[in-house]
Amino acid sequence: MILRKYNLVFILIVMILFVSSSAFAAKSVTLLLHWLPQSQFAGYYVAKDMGIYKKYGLDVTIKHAAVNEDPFVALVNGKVDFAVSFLANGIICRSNGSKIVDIGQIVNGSNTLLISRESSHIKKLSDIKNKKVGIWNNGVGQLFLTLFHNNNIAIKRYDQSSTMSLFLNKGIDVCSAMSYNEYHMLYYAGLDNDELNIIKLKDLGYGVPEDAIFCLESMWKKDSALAKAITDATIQGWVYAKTHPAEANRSVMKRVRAAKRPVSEYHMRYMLNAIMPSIISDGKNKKYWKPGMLSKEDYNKCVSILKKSPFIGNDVPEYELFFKYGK
Amino acid sequence: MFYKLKIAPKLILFLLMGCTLVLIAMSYVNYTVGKDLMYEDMVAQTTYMVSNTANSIDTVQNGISKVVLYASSNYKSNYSDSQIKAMLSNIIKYNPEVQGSCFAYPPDIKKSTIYGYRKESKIIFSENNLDYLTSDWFTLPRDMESPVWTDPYYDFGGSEMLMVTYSVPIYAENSNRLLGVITADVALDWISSMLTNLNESDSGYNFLISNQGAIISHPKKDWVMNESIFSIADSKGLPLLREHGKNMIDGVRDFGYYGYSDVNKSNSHIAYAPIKSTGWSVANVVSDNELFSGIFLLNKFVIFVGFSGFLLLMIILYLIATSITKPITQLEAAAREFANGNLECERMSMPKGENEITSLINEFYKMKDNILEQINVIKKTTAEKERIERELDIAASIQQSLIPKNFEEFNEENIFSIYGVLNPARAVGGDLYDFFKLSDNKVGLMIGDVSDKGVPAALFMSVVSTVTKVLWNDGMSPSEALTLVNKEITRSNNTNMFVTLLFGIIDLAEATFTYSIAGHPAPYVISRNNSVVQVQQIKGAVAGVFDFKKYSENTVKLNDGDVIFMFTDGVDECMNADNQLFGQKRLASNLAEIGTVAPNIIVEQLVNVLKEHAGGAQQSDDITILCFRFEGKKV
Repeated sequence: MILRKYNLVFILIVMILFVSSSAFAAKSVTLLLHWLPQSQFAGYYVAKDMGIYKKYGLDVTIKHAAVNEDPFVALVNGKVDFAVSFLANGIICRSNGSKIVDIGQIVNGSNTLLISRESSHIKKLSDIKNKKVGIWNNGVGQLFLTLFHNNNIAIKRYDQSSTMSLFLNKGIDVCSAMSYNEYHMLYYAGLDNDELNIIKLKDLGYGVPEDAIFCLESMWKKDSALAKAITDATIQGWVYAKTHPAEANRSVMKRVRAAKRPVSEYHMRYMLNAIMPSIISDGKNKKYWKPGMLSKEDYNKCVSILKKSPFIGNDVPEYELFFKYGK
Repeated sequence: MFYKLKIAPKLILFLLMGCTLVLIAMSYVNYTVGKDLMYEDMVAQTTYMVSNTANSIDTVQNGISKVVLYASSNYKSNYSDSQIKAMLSNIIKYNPEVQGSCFAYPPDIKKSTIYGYRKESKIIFSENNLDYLTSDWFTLPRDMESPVWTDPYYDFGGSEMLMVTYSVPIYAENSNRLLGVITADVALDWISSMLTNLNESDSGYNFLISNQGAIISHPKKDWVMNESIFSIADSKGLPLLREHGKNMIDGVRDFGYYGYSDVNKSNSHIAYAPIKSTGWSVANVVSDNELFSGIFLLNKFVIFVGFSGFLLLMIILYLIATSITKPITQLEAAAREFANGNLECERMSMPKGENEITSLINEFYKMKDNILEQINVIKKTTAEKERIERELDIAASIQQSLIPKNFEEFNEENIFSIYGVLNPARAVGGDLYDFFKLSDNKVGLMIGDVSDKGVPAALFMSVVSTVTKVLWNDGMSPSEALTLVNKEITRSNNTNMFVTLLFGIIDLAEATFTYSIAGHPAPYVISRNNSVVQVQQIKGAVAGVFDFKKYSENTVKLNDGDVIFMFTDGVDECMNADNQLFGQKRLASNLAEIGTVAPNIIVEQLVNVLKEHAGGAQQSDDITILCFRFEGKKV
């Protein structure tokens, strides 16, 4: 009897400790994603919705950047704790003096494309010379602009929004595209694959890792465990999304509909499937990588591309100084 | 399989099969032609309806775009905010379908918009600096440098509604410097209600897509703005819908199969037509059940008519077949009864009309009557024949009675023995023989052959026999008797018949045989040493023809045991199946072989030899033999 009583007390104490540690010790942080709500961020949503962040002691508020917004502005200004953007943008940002670090390389593959209509006869990079090209204005466009700059190709630049209307209405000749998003949006606007010419950036030597989580170096120095936690939790979110696509889609659609974006649910399902292999390697296209890891090789490749970029600053960091996941 | 069937079922079966084939073919042609016509009609009707809807929307959209274009052309770069508001007010006030109107400056002038929108019959203005620079309604006209209709979007910070916007860029006079963009917003709700109202026929549902395929109006509200016709085609597995979608955004007007529609909950067809002013396309999706209701009805009707036709045909064929075959069946029964021997069966009732069947029945009964008549004739003839045969039998027995058969009585032991046979070729014959005592020592023998056969010959033979018996007395020699008999029968002979005769007398005491012949074969004498000698033939005419003056005679000496073998020409002229005659030569050799045995044995053996020779051949002439054996002198 006595033993049983002690047992009960012990269980109660453990429960109180657990609840207090998860509820009271959870750190509130903000995470800014560099595009509107869509399946590109399914892992983050799932990590939040399924309580994975909470399990890691995080109370994450997810925010989305506007179409023209460079997330590093908010990060550097201390408006948010963490920001997601392209690796290349992060390197450019750091080289220009902003002390930010990559604390988790989420998208390790390259999904960047340049798409034109088959009827425009743009088959290779040089054909784009003096054409009207849609470029994102949120920093992601810098990789594309570097490509044109490095190859000495003058273009007529147009801001590319979240819709494909300008390209579909033939306002521009070439659009920037992600293989998991815009490419499929065009298919859902009635353009068949054989009606399009597609130039993959990775075929031009510009295949570099994309989405990464960044934070200020000072923050990482102060609490590297926190930085590791958000990346670990996010990767957990992606693993969960991969094995539970229906729940992941629900998390995505909840945010898409709240934002009242004109987005097809079926497109979102496609996007989740399409982006997954560049986050969690299926070994088909590239060697295995540990999710969240950035190889030094990939980093150096990106740096060498950016060295000739008009956007690059003087202070290009070493790999070890810049990439901090798992340290 | 069918050959065992009776006529009526066979007739019904084959006619039914044939007619059913024709019926099916006709129904099929009728159905397909009808279906094609109805289909064409339906296509025309549906396409017309959709085109009307498209035109109605076009008119409204065109009106909106004209208003905005007019406002833009009147805009002056020095317009104050209140002037801009007045301009926007006019656009909203006089165009009930316009929900709101906006003027946006390009950022190089100032990053600002003036937005007026309808709220509870008032027009409210808001000035905000939201990031319109990334909105399609601003960037598209700016970058394309032409007016555009945007895809549907949600209007944040304004009317808070789903809408589409008509945007017109305004440029400074004589330069391409952008002064601003002026817009008119149309709520999707309003477009939806217009589309619903236009669907007067209430068949299927209408939907509207933009020139990028985005769904602007659709009964599935959650598809509006979010989905495109292509995402629906992809997710619902409707490859044809993707083709239709491509046609629609290319401004094609068409009609075709849709696939399974979630809204109609059935396979459906789609008709679509472009809205020229916006590049949009309106479509009407009608379930096949509804669309083809006419065709289904036609289908049912054709099946019903076909089936009723089949039943009617079956009944008619049954009636026709039975009306044709009923008299045949009755006739068959009558014929069977007749064939089974009921010759007096009742006459069946005649079917109406005059045709092959009635004439067949008539002919059958005519045939039946003829057969009955023939049977009666045959019966009569048979009775007559039987009567004649009976009479002939009597005549034959009478004739046979004229021929003596009392050989045993007549024979005298150790003196002589005699035996004869007369086998007529028909019932009665024309041959004759006779023997009688002329005196104690004299035996008269005669044998003859009337020229004809049958009853007349038999009667003639009776006359000859009777005359001979009457006239030949014991004092006469054979030649005298023959002369006398010839004279008598010639006198009374009114027919052309004649008779060959041999008259002979055996003198038992003298042991001689005296004979006279009238055209008859000479007899053979068989001696004990087995020599067979034909006695000398005597010339003399056949009897009964003319009065021959005097027949001559001849006498031969008889030894003990000699046999006199007398015969008619039926013996030596006995024919076999190959018409070969028996012949006197063979006769002589056979007699020699037989030898001088008892006359009855000689006769029987020779008759057997003749039978053997004839084989199965019919006897052509009467066969008559008279055989006399001399044993020894009478003392």
